[in-house]
Amino acid sequence: MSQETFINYRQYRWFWITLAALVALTVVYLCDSPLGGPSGGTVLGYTYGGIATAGILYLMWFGIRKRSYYAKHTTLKGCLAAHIWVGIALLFIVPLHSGFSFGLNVHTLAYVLMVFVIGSGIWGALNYATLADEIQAHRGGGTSKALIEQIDSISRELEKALSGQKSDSLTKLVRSVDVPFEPSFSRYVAGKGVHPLDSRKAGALLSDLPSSEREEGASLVGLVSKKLALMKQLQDDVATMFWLKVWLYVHVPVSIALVACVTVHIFSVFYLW
Amino acid sequence: MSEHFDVAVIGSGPGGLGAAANAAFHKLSHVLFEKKEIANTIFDYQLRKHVMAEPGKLPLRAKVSFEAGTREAILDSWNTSLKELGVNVRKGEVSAIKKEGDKFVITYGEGQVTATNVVLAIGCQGTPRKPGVPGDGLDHVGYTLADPDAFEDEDILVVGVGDAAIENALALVAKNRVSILNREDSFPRAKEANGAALTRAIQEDKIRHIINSNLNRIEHGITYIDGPEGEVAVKADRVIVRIGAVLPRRFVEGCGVEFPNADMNSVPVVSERYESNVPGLFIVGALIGYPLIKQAINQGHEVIEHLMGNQVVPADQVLIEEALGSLPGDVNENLKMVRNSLPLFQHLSEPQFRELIIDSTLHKPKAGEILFERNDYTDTFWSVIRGSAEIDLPDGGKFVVPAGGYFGEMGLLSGRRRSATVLAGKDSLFLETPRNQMLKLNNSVEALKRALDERFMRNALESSVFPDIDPEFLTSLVHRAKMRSFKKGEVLAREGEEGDVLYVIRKGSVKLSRKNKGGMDVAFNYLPAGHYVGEMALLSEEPLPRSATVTAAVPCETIIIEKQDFLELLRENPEVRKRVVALAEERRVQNLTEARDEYTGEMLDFVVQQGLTDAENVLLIDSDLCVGCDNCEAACAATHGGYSRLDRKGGKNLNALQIPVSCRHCENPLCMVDCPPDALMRNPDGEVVIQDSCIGCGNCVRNCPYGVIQMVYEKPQKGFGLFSWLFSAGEGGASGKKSGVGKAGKCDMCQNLGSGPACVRACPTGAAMRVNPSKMLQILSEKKGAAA
Repeated sequence: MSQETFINYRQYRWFWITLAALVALTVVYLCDSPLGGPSGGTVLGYTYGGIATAGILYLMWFGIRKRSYYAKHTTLKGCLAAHIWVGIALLFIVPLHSGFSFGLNVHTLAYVLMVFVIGSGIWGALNYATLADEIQAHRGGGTSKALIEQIDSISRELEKALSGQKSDSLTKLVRSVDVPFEPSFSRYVAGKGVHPLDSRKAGALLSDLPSSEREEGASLVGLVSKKLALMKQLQDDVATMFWLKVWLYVHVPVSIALVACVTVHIFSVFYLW
Repeated sequence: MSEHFDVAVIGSGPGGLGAAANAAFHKLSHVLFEKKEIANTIFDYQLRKHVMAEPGKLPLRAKVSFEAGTREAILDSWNTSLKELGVNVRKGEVSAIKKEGDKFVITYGEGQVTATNVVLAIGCQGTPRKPGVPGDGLDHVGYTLADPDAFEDEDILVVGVGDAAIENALALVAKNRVSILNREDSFPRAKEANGAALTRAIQEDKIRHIINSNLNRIEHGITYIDGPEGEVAVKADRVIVRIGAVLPRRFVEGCGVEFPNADMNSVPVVSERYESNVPGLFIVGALIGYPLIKQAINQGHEVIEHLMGNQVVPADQVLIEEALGSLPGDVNENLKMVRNSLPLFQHLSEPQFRELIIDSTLHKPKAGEILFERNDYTDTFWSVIRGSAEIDLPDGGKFVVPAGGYFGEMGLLSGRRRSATVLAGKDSLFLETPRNQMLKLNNSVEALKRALDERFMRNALESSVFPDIDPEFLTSLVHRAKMRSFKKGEVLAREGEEGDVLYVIRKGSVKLSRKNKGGMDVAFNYLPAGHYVGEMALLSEEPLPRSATVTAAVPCETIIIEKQDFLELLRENPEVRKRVVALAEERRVQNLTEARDEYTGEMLDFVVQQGLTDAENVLLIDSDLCVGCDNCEAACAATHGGYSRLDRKGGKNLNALQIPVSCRHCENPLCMVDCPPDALMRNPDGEVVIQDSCIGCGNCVRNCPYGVIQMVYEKPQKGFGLFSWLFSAGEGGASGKKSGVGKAGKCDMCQNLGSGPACVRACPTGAAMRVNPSKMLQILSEKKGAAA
């Protein structure tokens, strides 16, 4: 696709910038042989720590940039590209900073939190890249509200048809194949939801009907089938929207915890020093 | 012997109030006729509506006060003024005004009076049409609906399915049980959006749709209807009848007043004292083309001053001075000089000419200065008062417009970009007139219309269609050619039918389609203004069938050339013939190769249906990239007073390309038609924007076929919420409590930000883009490639 997105922004400009920076930092790290081995306490360790802190602050600034609607010189798409690639680079810069020393302490906790934040970010970016095109597919060119309205209107049509019935065999038929439209978390997100009409079962039930009612029964089953298909579309739509949004509820709060933890990390280092 | 007055004022709108108040002040014997309420149009406004006092610079000189304020405050102050001045108000509908000798006989509800002079100030709203059935005058039968919230838990019957009826029915639905009475079974006269909203409400059982029925009689609580199966009683606590209005033109003509032409928009010609062709009969306000309150009040006031024999400097003198201030010498002499030097405007009445000058701008450019450039979007009309202008044609040709001439009329009438660059000659003086002012004159001054039409046809035929045509032949052709308008969707020519005329598209665009093997009409091309169509069936003396169906994609204006004239044109102009035949052959080849591509057909149909052939710039959302974060709407709202001017979820979708509800900056913007203060304009980059002078009348909201203009209100400041700041997309759409002054709001392409549209810049994934329609077609084709 020729279009520019938040991933391939300006021919992967931010990927190449961060890759180059990472290579440079790794080469310097490998060339450095400080007394007592590499650690956060060496000159290079402090330098890389400073770079990582600046990186984290830059990533946090995205929250403000996203809401700066008057921003003149950059587009949000470009900033997001930078946000993603700089974030991924931090996963590698921080171990270079600490000389790959980890332990059960607040310093490593900061790294773990960062991995969580960046991991959830990657998850979010992957969701953005892979799920967006599903929204329209599920909505069939309309909106989710229109889907709900269609389902509702078919439900009413079904009820109207059934309320005029003298024999209850048609009601029984509909009740046994229909699924009531009751949106719930487990149904719509956890995927325990509606499935398309089981045509074999419906066929068997129809054949049990007296022949005089079979034609009407078939048209009712047709309506149910249409309704179930729409409910399935809606269910998939809700699930997609859920995955497109839920990662932010990990990403944002944990990033705030990360900033707090990095503050403690820096404070404790300088205090103990 | 009937009562006699010096002055009878008909209608108590602003113009009538200005006249009656001044007559009372001068102790003239007078009477003010009003059939309903004082200032009825404003009385019928929605409660607490804010009324503006435009134009701000125009001084008010009247015995009634008027300043911007709520409907209630204005009505109060006017009623108080009338009482204090002792204005003689008589309730009753005037049905006839006849001049007998030197006085007028005025027939109204209860009888007759006579008057030496008459001031006609009845506006142009007209009288709501009554159904003419027993009971149509009962208390519970209404012909307007000021405040839908005033009714609750009632059974309401709305009669009619025009826009007013539908809007009323939908507004009443929230708190009442509403039925709508329709003589037919569909709503052909309603706007698309209204028709769709009503259909939805009917499907959802919110409104009961009574079809193929007519009113029989109205009684308290019950209305009787003649339906397909006989008489039916409908429970109705209230009946709202909205079946159109009887326009005042017939009444005015009945008084002996002449209109310049049959055009529905034309207004009667009056003298500088607002006197019509009937001596002693004065007309003021909207009826002569002055829709603003302050103008009408002043005019009414001035008429009485004239009758008193007082020398009146027109209220707009200060504006004339401002407009002509840059010229040395006496302003009135200068006004005369300008008028004498522009023959095109010689048929304008004095008030029309003054308004033209007030709305226009004088230019005294240096020799060689560029007035406008080719491909500019400006749409003003230029007259040469002194000196000359040089027109540089794209082919390198030049010609000079001398003093008294004019240019810029192509952009004015066709709404397209400038076709040439124009430079100022030595020691020149120009008058630049806004498009709306020229269109207004075009509608009301027949001689001006004819001159512009002929010039336009000439230019259109000569410059873009038949450049090699013989000038003399062209003149005779222009005299024989006709103009014709087509509504959106109207068919100009049908495939297979015999072709009899050639259409030159002067404004709008057309869609070409052919039937495929399955008999389905498939679009294969569209042609914008400046092209001709229909020539293929005219190339032989023998009758030939049309090879394609031609449909107006948007409202179109065309120049029609009859087959015989066209054949003569080809015979007399061999160069033209060569070109026409070559193009016809090219089109024939296109027809054979392209007409069967159904995807292209679907794409073109979509583009045409969405009115995108008329778009200059359209907001697209690539559904393959959109994650539904609504940051685009949030960015729009944040940069536009809290109201998003785009509805991301709204609009149509083709091949995962969404056209959200947002302004397309049309080539022929229908929103601009009928804007009383001329607040809508196209700026030089092509964007259609609303200026601060908007008075909030809502005409553009109703006129936009794409529903992209909304009324916006000052929004209360919301408190800051950390949670919503972090997790939601800012301020969202146009919710919030309505308060303060409503004005029209739409996309302005963020021209004040200086960095492009905020919605596009705030899209995190790159889904949102603003492109021109050809880029859009390219993206659509790419999508097809990706899907295949």
